[in-house]
Amino acid sequence: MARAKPLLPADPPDQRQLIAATALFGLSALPLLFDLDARVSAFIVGMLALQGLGIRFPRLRPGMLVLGLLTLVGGLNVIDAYRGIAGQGPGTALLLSMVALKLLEVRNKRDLRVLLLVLGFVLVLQFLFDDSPWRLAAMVALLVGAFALLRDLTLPAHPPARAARARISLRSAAVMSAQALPLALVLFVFFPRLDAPLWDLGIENPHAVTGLKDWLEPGSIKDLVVSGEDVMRVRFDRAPGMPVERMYWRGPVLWHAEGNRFSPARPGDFPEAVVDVEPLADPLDYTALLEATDQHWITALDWPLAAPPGAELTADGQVLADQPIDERRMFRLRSATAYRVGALSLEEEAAALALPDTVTARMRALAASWTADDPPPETVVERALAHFNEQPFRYSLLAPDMGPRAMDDFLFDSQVGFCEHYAAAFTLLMRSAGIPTRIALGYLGGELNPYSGDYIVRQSEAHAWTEVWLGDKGWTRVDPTAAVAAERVDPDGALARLGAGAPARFRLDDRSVLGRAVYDLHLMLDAANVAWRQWVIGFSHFKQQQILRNLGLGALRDLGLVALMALAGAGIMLAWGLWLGHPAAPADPVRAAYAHFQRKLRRSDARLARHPEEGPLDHLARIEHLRPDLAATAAPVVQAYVRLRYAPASPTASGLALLRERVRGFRPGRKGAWRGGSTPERG
Amino acid sequence: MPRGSQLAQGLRLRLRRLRQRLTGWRPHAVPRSAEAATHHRRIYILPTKAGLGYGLVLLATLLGALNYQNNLGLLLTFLMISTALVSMHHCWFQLLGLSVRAREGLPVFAGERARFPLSVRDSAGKARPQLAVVGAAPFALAADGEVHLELTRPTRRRGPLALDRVILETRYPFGLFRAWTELRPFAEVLVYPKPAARAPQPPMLARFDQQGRGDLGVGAEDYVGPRAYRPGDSPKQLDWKAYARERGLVVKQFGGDQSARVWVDWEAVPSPDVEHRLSLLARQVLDADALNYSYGLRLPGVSIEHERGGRHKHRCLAALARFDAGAPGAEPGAEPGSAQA
Repeated sequence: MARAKPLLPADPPDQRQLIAATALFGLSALPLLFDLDARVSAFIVGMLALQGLGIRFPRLRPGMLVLGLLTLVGGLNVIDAYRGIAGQGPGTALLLSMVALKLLEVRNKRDLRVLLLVLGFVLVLQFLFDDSPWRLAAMVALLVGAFALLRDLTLPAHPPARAARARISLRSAAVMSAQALPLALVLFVFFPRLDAPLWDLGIENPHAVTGLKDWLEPGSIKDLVVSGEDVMRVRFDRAPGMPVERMYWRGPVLWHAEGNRFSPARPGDFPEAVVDVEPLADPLDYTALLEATDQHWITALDWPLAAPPGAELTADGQVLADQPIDERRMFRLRSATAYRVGALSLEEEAAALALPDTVTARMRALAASWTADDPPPETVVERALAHFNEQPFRYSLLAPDMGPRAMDDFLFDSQVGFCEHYAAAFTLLMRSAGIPTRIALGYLGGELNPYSGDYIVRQSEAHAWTEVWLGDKGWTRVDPTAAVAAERVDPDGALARLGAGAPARFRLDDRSVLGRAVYDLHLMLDAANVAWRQWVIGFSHFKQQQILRNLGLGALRDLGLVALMALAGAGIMLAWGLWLGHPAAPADPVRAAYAHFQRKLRRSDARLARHPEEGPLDHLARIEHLRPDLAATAAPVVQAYVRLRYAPASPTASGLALLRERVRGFRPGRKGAWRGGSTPERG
Repeated sequence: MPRGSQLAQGLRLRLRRLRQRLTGWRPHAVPRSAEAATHHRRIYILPTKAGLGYGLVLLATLLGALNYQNNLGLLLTFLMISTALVSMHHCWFQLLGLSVRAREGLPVFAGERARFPLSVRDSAGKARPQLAVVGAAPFALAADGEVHLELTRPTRRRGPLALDRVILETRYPFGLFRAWTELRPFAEVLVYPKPAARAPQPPMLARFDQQGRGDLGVGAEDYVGPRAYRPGDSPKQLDWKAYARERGLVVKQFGGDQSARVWVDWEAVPSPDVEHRLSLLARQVLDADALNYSYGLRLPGVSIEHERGGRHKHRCLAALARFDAGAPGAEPGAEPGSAQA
């Protein structure tokens, strides 16, 4: 094959094309500018301004030397702003800076084409920063724009009018993108996903939120409660059969007390600990969609019975993922809501009784006052809860900052605290009384979205409670915060001002009609948001296997996905091929009628089809030769067509009607219906 | 023959067939008629450089999005991939249902470019937004439309030059793919021998010629009288004043004397090389025509009687172009046969 002369000459793009490319890049860079270092953003904006100037006054376009200098400045700017180029922020900053410079360097259409192709990177990069549907819609629109500009670049140099040009380009880009949608969706559903990253370039997850820590100090939960951010969404396989206010979502379990801080068990602390849990009711199966926490634990309802793949269940009832949850992930979980947990190793008992040196004599004395008559542990717990209830303890976010002996201050002086105060103080008192006690961190309650059926748990529901060892009954949950009388919960002051939800939850009944409508809208949006997260953002390897299983192809695993992808993809492409290859109906009614006649002939016998180079009369002669039986009916049609088509006068309505009528009356019959004498071979 | 070499030969044959299939080089695949239609088996498509670059970008975004399990990134990447694939289909189908008709072009001298008039016609009732014939400017084609263009080819040797092949190509819609097809519509352009820079004066005719006109004893290039126009007469000879007086097209006849009657004669131009000899003869024909001599042409096996005018010139040059030194009756030294046009 001889080297073809280039069809697209390397001529300079016209001004409109430059403006369009600049706008496309500017718009796709715009949302990223807010995520980048201010200096890098300033550089990119500067380059865009320079480009605008260069378009308006072509003489001001920077030369090669200036461009070289600007490249150096841009690169150093990124390195200086980020102290390196590794990672998501600096990488994006460098790419955007360089693409902005490439924009300045565009000299011919080839450069512009390269720029448009690289724009694909910039569009995909966006989703590292934002995964909302709006961002996707914006990027798809920009992608169509980029394709339109690519189309414009292939248009001949002698253009139609500007408006027509833009319309042609945009239309064909939009049409092709729309036609690409089915295939893109097939690829999206069936393209096998990875279970875990192949490599890690230090791209941070954009969605890490501040959540529970795996330790507890007075005040550590208070910060969360004012945060309205989501923690998880849960969908139960069947109705859970318990009110949402009673749902304890279990996170880390804290054993060790040092100073004012409680911390969880370290690996190897309890070598003899065993999982020994006996569900007392049907367990609940559910799917939990967890937000990124950068922590290992997977918050689960009450007492988890099994760990999902990639996680393990500990003896103290935590589900710990092997990898920190650094992005939104979905897990299948199973929990018991009524259970008996009954195993306590010697190491565990020792840890659950250990007291820090912050326990004061007053606290010991209080604990001793409950155990003087050597009651069973249940009675001690009851007495302690009664103490919290009877003393003027108040429940408030605005607990005063406390010193090193915070628990002593809280119990005897301020008596104002939040759940962490109650849990920590209660634990220390129980341990002083000789009852093994530990703290569980997590969330209490949530909100049921009636539109999606999901339970939404937010950071504002963060909670701390305790578990005491009651001999035969095993570990039993005790929530000392609940012992504080409801009227002492600070109802309006702090919580309302801070917008916090728990435990003084919003009550729907209190709302006005308008407020309720807004709230409903909010819930509907939330349902849509959940669907988006579940089916688009959270679509994973797991979901794919689920789809395969539903199709009965679960055993094929990734192979099945690839096969389905290939089948569906090939089917779609074949469909487009057939559609494109099908001749379009002629707009001219005379030709349309003639084409109808041709179709009838073709269907009757392939040999009767008109050859491309054959005129209508030659064709008729051939028909008469091949099928003498058709001569009488075919000839009037062809004659009428020739008269309409080649006569000097423009076709008349009556002539057209005649042609149509004759075409309608033409019945060549099917191949199988041939009479023996009608074929020349036999006749 | 050892089995191994047999096997190797078989493999080689297969490879050659495969290569021929892939490159579309099939010498007898297309019949030689003036009109050639595209055929789906002979439409080829490959990514352009831009398409390959786009492929790299897409591969990078695909791997990145897969690795970081970024579903939106994947979705956009798949949309880009699918759009490129759909555009590939559109690109290929641009070339289906087209036919190219070539016509004979005007004769040229060797070394000039031969021009073949070409028309591209849509026979599938579909508009083609962007098409090109390699070597000509891109164009668009309306449904059932026809576009006329001209294809030029360099010429080196005299004789009839057949149009070798017409490559129809398109990069519609985004320039990511190039589809092309090779068509071989039959058309010829006659290539005259390249005239030599200068040639010896042809021998003047010594004897009186009964057929001669205008030898009335007056000097060369004298006006002899009017005559009715015949097709092929040079416009230089037209009597424009007579035309202005509405006497119709009249040619002014100039009578040459005996010396203005020449033979452009193969035998009179001694040169060992046939082609050089022909180029000298071509120059003589052109000179004689420029001087408005009445001239005849004698080649081995060909003889053309004395005549003037453009049509005559083309007849002589065509004879030179088609001269076949190896043809019967054309052996060197053979007597010129009877006149044959």
